[in-house]
Amino acid sequence: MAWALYDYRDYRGRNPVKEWCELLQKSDLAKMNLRIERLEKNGHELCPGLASNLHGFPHLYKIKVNGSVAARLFLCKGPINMEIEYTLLLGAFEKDDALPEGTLEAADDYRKQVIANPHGRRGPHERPKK
Amino acid sequence: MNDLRNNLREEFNDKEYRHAYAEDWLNTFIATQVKVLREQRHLTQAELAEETGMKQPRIAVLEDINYTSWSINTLRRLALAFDLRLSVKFEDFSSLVYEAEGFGRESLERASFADDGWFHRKPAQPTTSSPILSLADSQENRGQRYLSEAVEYSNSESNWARAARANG
Repeated sequence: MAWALYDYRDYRGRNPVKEWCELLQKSDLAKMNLRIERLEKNGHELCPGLASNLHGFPHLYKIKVNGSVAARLFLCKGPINMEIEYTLLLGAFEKDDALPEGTLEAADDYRKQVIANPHGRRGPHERPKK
Repeated sequence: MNDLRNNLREEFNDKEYRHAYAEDWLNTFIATQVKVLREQRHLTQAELAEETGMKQPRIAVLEDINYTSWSINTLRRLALAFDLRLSVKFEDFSSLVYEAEGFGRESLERASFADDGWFHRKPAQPTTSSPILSLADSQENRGQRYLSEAVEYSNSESNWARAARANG
């Protein structure tokens, strides 16, 4: 079954997930796009390690790409229709196994913004390009 | 899914991109297939570890798409445990596009030798009793033969990819 995939949009309507992905080097972007495709086509459970749970943030998942940098993309199921949707929320770079402070809180806040205003704060996933 | 095909058709023009994608695809495919084959056989990671002579945490590592250090020897041990043959081939990039489109649990499952119908089906027996029964029997045999051949064909990734390519 295919899933509907959305990207978070900020208050100006920009797509920060796409903008962040486009910062990645070409080879890292290829890996990130592959993982996003698998999420969209197969969900997060078929491919082991595709999206992992996060301690203390039960609604969030993390996609990781280890390449020239440790790129991490945070997402949630739903949050409007939990059975058929994922929403990509926020990208960040991990350094020395640590995320920038407040990353997970920001991702969870974005999720809550989408719940409050699903039409304004998310849009269909846009594939990042180089 | 034609979106995926169109995206990859464009993106694969870049050599760095297509090789990074293909490398990650291999890791994703193998890790997922190990998990799917283990589940198809109703084995726990600990049971598969015992079959392969590895430790359970090692199986957990292999069943992770982020694992990148595959060796032919490890894959051979897994193939033996699953009673499957290991196939390592060079492929063109277009076959990856079709593999990505068809990727799912069903496309990863494989029958062990004991469940491989091709080896265990009975050859058609000639019947001479009643012409009507004989006709029915031959039709049934032919139907089963066509079904088996269709399954073999659909299980062959290269045939499948070629057919898909031929259909545009």
